[in-house]
Amino acid sequence: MIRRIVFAAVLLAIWLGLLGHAAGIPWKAPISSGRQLAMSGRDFLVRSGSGDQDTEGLVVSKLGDDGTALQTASLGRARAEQLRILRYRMSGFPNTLELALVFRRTDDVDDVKTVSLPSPRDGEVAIDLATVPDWQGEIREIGFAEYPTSQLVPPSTVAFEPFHIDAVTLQAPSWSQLLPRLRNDWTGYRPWSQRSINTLGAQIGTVPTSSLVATLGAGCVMSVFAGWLILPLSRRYFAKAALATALAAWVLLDANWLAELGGKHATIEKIYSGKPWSEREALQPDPGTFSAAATMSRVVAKEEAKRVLVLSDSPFTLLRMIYFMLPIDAVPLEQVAAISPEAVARAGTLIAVVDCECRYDANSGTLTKGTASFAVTPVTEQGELRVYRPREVSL
Amino acid sequence: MSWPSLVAWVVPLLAGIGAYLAAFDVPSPGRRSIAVGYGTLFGLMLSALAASLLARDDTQHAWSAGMPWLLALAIAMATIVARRRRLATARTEVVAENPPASTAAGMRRSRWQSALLIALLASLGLRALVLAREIALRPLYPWDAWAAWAVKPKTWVLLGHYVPFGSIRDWLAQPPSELRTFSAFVYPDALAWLDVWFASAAGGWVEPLVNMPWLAVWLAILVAHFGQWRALGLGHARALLAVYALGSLPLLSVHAALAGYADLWIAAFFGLAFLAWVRWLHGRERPQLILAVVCAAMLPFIKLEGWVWCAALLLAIGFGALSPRWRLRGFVLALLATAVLFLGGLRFLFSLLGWTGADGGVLVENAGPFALLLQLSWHGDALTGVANALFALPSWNLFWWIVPLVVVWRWRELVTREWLRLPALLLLGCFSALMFLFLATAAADWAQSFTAINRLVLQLAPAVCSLLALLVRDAALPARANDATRELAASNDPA
Repeated sequence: MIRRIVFAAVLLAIWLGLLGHAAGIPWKAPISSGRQLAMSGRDFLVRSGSGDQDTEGLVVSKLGDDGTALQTASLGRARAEQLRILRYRMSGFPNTLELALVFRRTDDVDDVKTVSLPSPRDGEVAIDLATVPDWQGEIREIGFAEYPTSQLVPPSTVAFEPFHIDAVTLQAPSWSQLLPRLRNDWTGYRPWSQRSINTLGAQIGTVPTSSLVATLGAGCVMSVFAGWLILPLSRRYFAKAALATALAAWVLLDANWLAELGGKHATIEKIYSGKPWSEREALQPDPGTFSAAATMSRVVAKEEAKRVLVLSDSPFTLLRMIYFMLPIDAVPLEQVAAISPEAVARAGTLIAVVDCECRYDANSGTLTKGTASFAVTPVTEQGELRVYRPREVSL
Repeated sequence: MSWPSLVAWVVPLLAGIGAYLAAFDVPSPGRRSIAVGYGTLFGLMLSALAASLLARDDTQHAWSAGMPWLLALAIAMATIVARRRRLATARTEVVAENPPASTAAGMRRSRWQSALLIALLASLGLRALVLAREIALRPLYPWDAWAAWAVKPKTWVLLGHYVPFGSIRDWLAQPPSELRTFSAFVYPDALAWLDVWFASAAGGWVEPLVNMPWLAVWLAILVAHFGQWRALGLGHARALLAVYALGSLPLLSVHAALAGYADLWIAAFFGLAFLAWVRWLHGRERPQLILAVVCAAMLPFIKLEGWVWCAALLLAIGFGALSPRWRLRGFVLALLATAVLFLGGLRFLFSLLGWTGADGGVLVENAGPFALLLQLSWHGDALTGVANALFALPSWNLFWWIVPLVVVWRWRELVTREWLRLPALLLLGCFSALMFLFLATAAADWAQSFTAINRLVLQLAPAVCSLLALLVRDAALPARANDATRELAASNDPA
């Protein structure tokens, strides 16, 4: 009997220790947080998009013309290191939107810092901002920004569903945050991203999350080992317990993954379901690039061009443009210029510029990106697309 | 799905399954699953082959050009199989009368165990439905799918004919329209031609229909592994549990859902070649040896690292076929060859292949990832990335936690059974190669940023799962203390 009591106590210690470590809660933290700054949704002002205050908070009802909604609240002077746990509760947050925390520090009021936040789709979220490098000093203002999930959701498909900001709290670490922190880290909604094909888990640019796999794996190994050390188990019973633990842990993780897969897929169903392929094909997360490529195809046909050289600041946009334009013979302009500058101006070549801070100087007839300049003649400009015909090149 | 798309699916699958049955089938438990799994992959590769041989001038009619040939192949294979079945009925009956011992042991399951198995398999079914919907709904999504893998087939389909792809230097030297270029021009063409086949049946570049083979590969991996595990002596329950374990690996599902990368295909052919080789080691069934070589030979046509895995498999197969005396010599020879390669041999090989420029430097655009082998330096930081990728991030469930535990638990099996020891050594060699890549070359960044590490490990994951399944194939719980006493008493009883 005493052995069983000791084993139960050891199990409790193992799992509390592991869960506390995973949640990043210091051992000496109090049970509930003494220091905190609590706000309701009513404390937030709409800066972009539309929204109305009601008795319980703020209802955000529309994105702004730039496709983003923003709500902010003034904090006075809050010390970042003392209030590093952000808890927020929103209801009805759509899975097509991405949520970001924006904040301003007293020492640099003109610089707005941004970090992507976990979706608050299911109740309250608690995150530790200590892992955000800019969360330091005095925080003067915080806010939330919402926009269609980047590289996933076509902005045109966001039929805006109003959501409600219920409560926002900044706190010092305490053990009462254990469950909301881990619940979000381990079961929160994570949309598909370009990184998903390489690895699952928190995406780049978001607040790092603790590992359910490592916690469960270590917990199972330590629990079984403790049972072997403390309890007078027969080899048969020990083997059974170890196998049952492994199977249960695997099934638990798999159920969690299935739920995550279901959540990811629900977004895809929402965007594409019930539409013919001709419509779905145009529903790209980067509709500007898609329509620029369609325009470019028409320009190429009209101008009877043989080759297109593409210029963009974003590798994503550059490669997407080339893919969307296929079967047009298109390559990155800078790659050609690096190997053979004179080849840029070959007959039958057009330059497509999209999503680029490049400058065109009409007086000198040059297109400049960084230190590279290309002698060009403008052909057309439509939406995000600018088209030029190269004359000669000098680097 | 239109009827051309349906026919473009059914006929290659029939031809593939027929080809498997005609060339490699041997009576064993799970033979139908093996035929369907391997046959599906063969069928898909046959359609790619037909498109590449018959549709270069008219890619938009690839499926109708290849269909008569594949139909004829399917009929011919069916005829051979039917004839052989008639002749071999008696032998099949003999085999059916003598199932492996573990098959009989696997039949005894309690009601709750059966219910659990059904629930786990139902979860795989649910997953398959989600994967199918995911592929069917969305345009091509992951980065390299549209930046690398789909560029050639989309160009060929929309142009209506084949054009070659080359380096940007060659492209600049050619007149317009004769040569195309992009960064991944060296990637093999098998999957590109497969895309052409299904795009032509769909009547254009319809990405969901082009991507649907990725779901078929996911299913084929599970079905073929189940069959081979059964043939290698796993009982029904254990084989199904192992199928659940393999099918529930999150990253395997992701590579089906976000179709377009080649890693799932490499995982399939490596895993299937591995299992066929294990069967040859276990039962010396010659068709399985040929099957292993055929599957290994497919790898270079899918992805560049396929060359490495193909070489590893062929070396292992050759090593396994040597007598013990020759194995030691072979091992020493392999060590010497490796030393020669890294002491100048590789550079010489690269220059022979045209992968070096006039100044002796490596032309990375030609050599691709192999260029890394000429720039060695220690990257200890990558170990953290490797550990995180395998043991902390949710890509693998608890798979990599369980691997060492099972190996330690069943180490005697590895020591005493050569048909398990050699495959385990092959996998150890492959993982050592990956560790070398991440710790000794600039590919360390791929481990630290989690970009390639999981995908490379994915290529080996089904084979590792097979090894684990075979290690526990006849594992039993330790006997109860009173049972053991009774057995001891019975053995001491002179009567």
